[in-house]
Amino acid sequence: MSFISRYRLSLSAVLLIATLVMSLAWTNVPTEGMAAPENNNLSLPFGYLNQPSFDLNTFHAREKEIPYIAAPESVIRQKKGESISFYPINDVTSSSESRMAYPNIPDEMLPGYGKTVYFIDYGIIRFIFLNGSRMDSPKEQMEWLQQSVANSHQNHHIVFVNGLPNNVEIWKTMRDLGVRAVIARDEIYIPEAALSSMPSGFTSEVQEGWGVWNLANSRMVPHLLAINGKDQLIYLKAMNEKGDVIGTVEVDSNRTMSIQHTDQGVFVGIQSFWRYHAGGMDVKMVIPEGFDVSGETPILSEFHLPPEDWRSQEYNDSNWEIGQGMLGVTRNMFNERLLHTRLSQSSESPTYYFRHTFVLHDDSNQVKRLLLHIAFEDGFAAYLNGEEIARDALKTGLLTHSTLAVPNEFTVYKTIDITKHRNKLKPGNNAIAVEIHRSHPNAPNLLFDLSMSYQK
Amino acid sequence: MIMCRSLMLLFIMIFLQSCTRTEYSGSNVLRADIAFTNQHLIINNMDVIVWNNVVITLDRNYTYRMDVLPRGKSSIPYNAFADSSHHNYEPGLLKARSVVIAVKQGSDSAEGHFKW
Repeated sequence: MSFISRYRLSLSAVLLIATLVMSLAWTNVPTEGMAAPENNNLSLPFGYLNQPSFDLNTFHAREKEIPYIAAPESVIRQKKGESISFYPINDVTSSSESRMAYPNIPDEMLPGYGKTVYFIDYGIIRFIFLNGSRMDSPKEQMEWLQQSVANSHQNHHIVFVNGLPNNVEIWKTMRDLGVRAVIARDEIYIPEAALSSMPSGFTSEVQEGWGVWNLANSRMVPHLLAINGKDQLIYLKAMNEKGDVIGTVEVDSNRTMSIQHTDQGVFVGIQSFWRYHAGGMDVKMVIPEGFDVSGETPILSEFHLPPEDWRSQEYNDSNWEIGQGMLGVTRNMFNERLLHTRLSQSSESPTYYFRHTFVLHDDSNQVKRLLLHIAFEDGFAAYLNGEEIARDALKTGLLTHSTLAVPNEFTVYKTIDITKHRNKLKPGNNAIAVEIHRSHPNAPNLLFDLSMSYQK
Repeated sequence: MIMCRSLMLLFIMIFLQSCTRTEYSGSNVLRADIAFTNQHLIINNMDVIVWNNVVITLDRNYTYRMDVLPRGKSSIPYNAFADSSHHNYEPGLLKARSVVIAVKQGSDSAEGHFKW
């Protein structure tokens, strides 16, 4: 009793501190990421593989985040039907006997096709498997596809087929049904109207309204395609064996509607995926003929940059890193929570380069207003298809990777009217390139995100 | 006595002034400003033009060449400087002791120099 009386004040302080520490632990304070509520639409991704052969057990041991996987039936090494996490795509090795071995696949969804034509619902996506070897007379499968989509309550529909359907009517049917992607071996077909983020190596209009992303043409051969959905968005991410994302396609079903039924929309959304590279001698830049390096003379004519210039629309950025905006590095605790991609601090250069490509489906003359919304620190210069369209906190004229910006506070989504540059838009593929410069080589902050919207 | 002190002060001022900058005879003086960090040399090109064919020399031996150096501030890491044996520059405790900037086409399309 005397002990408690003697140390009453100290014990009270210890009790108070313990209570505060425990309450802090129970609060589950977020340590990183956006200050947004958790979205239940996010789920573990669905995987797709098209390797020469693979072992399912080894795959699941490595890729714990991907519970289910689809692949052409011939590539799996296991005994048929051994794993219920595997969904085969009918190919030349498939036989009716082997297909009967899969207990996880519904039988005769389309009478006469056994287990070669079926669908599964996973999260908000319905994955539909078609029989490519019987596409020469596709009427039955197309009618079944229409019924399957019409009766579906899923937000999105993705088709797997081993073999490319050449019939124009098939592509028209799938486009009209709102199919978000058709995956055929190494080729991923996307309706271009719904495309909001496009990877390098994407080819437009291979079929009417459809572009294709050929994984086999990537500089780094992907190990896996991870498919995920959230609300009206689908993400298809090609990853290498280390788990690094080497290419991403973002499909937005709202985008299709906005382009068809409204007179405004976005070419590049905020928090889009960007290719990025630290400044240095290895990123080529040329001084085009007639360009005033001092910046005293206004730019009155277009400069045609060669493909090796990083600002060019044709520049090959497939070996650049990929990250989602906001990108950067900062010591500010509030700004830190805005970051989706953290960049490393380069001692070689105070500059980072960013690129993003998008597709314009119509004539650029239909665009009546073009707006840039940019978040940056410290200074930036932006280029549309190799032509400068905006600059802030940087001196006029020539910029190199060594150039320092004027010291500047973080600017949050400043809107700049770039309507006078709308003639630089081109039907088909367009590229927006941005360079962000620090104001000091040791400056702790470099931040970037950009959106480009239009009105027709 | 006062006259003598004034003369001494004048001599000291002239001496200090001569230590701070030596101009290259026959070439233009570049309008430049330099600063040092632990890892970088920062050069501020205050001329109205971009410098072409730039050679920057640290501590007499270590050079770095640039085709162009734009207006405004640029930062160059010390490890980009190398001597004739291709040894990279490593700054001492007091950083660099001398900096020379030489351009082939500075002000008025002539050679230009800056020395610190």
